[in-house]
Amino acid sequence: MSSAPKPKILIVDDQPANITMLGGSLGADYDISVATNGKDAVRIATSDTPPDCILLDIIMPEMDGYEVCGVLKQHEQAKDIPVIFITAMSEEEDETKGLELGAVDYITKPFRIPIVQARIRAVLALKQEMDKRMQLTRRLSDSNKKLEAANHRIMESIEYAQGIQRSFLPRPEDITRHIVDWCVIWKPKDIIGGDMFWFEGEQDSFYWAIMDCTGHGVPGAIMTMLAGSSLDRVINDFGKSVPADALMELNRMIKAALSRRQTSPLADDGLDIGICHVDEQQNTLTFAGARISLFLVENNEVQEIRGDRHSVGYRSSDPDFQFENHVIPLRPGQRFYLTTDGYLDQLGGQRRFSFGKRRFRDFILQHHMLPFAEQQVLLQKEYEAYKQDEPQVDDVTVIGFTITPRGGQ
Amino acid sequence: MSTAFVVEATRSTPYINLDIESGTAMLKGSSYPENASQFYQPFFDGMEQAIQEMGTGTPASFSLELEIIYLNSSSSKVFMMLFDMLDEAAAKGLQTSITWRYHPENESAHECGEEFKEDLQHVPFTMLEVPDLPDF
Repeated sequence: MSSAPKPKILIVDDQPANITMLGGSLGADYDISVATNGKDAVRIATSDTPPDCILLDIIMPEMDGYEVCGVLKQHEQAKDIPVIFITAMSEEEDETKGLELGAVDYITKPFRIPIVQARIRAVLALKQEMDKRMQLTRRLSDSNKKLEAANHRIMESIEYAQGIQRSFLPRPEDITRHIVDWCVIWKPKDIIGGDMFWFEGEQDSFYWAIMDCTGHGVPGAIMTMLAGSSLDRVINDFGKSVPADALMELNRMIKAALSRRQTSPLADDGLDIGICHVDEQQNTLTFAGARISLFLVENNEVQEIRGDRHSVGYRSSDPDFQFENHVIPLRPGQRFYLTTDGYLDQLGGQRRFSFGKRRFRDFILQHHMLPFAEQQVLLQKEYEAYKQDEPQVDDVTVIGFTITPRGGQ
Repeated sequence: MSTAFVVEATRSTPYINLDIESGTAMLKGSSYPENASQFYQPFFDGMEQAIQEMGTGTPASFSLELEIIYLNSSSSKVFMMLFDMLDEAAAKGLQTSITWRYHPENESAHECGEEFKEDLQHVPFTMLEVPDLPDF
């Protein structure tokens, strides 16, 4: 014998003789409870220990079987208990009525016990199958809810991080104090990212840098915090005012910060950076770059002032590497652009190739005379038009500006 | 027993085929996985093994072919390590080679290959323009 509890059957009949007969023949296989009127039947069916199946007589005084069935089908917990009508009536109309009320089967008296048993077995098997499915559905929806909750927590955390990363970006009013016409596009791939721009204004000079740290999303953003605050220290605390010297110091500082513990041999983190120092007394712009170029548009020509092909802070970065300073005398009408590779590398177009430098150069040449607020809109439009349905492959940052030299004509 | 190692391409990772016995490897597609070093570790290990085995005579040579549409910066760091490995082997007199295939209109892929080539001293690095096959 199985040790599983016997299925519970509720027999509802106002004739004790019927109950005795049915109960006696089913008692060996089932756990039997009985009710002799509709009210008791409803009470038992909706109790904490409901039956697995109900054998329900139709003709009873006060509350008949149809009414009992109707009440149970409205009840949240009892509505799924299968009901088999047992009655002396055999009119087809009655049978239809019972089934419409939600009964699963119909047995007419006088009945043969083996047939009643077979029908109960079939109904119970169906009920078990339904219960299993309900359980699976419930489990699925539970794990869905858990996933949703986990996702929600992660997104909340990233959105909070976004607040921190944004607060680290330069304030527009600090930039405007030195430059009248400028624009920035900063578009992380995943809410937060590894791209960062950095600005530091002084009495008669300012620094403007653009950085692309390895990774995007959370790892990239952590790197930007290290890179940004290291650059702060290099410029403000160490007084490295010459861009090439600042990059060398930054390189050493980040290498040191990231080499405290060895992780995977292929893991290697650092950043690419382009930094401009504008001396408003001397009317010069000094640029140094680590795998980031400065684009200059002047006299209707685009010039790419290439940064060194040497990243900063990587294990493979040479701590003694000398970056090159490029000194540019400032003249009216010059337009400067810095971009990380996110804009240039974006896949799209007909062939799914990268946007490319040539396209970028053509674009800034065509639009460089416009105010930067307008160029910003056009740059964004151009990017979206090229990208179309492709996902954004990397964090995107583009800076454009023009400087009106002091004392210049 | 075959020593081939094959990874099918996805949108963000290339098709990889490494055959240690015959000393050939092919990468084809785009490469911008979230964690490039983790993704390429098994391939990196396989390459290392192939070069080690070259010391015993088989394979007699090793050639790496790449046709990469786009690669992100972390993939490019991993590629450089792979190329350095072949460069060092070449410096020791082993016969290694790299072929960088690119579409004539893919300016970034072209430039990328040129940059890799500049950084290598010993291993022959061939830039190979591959135009579209004609439509029939």
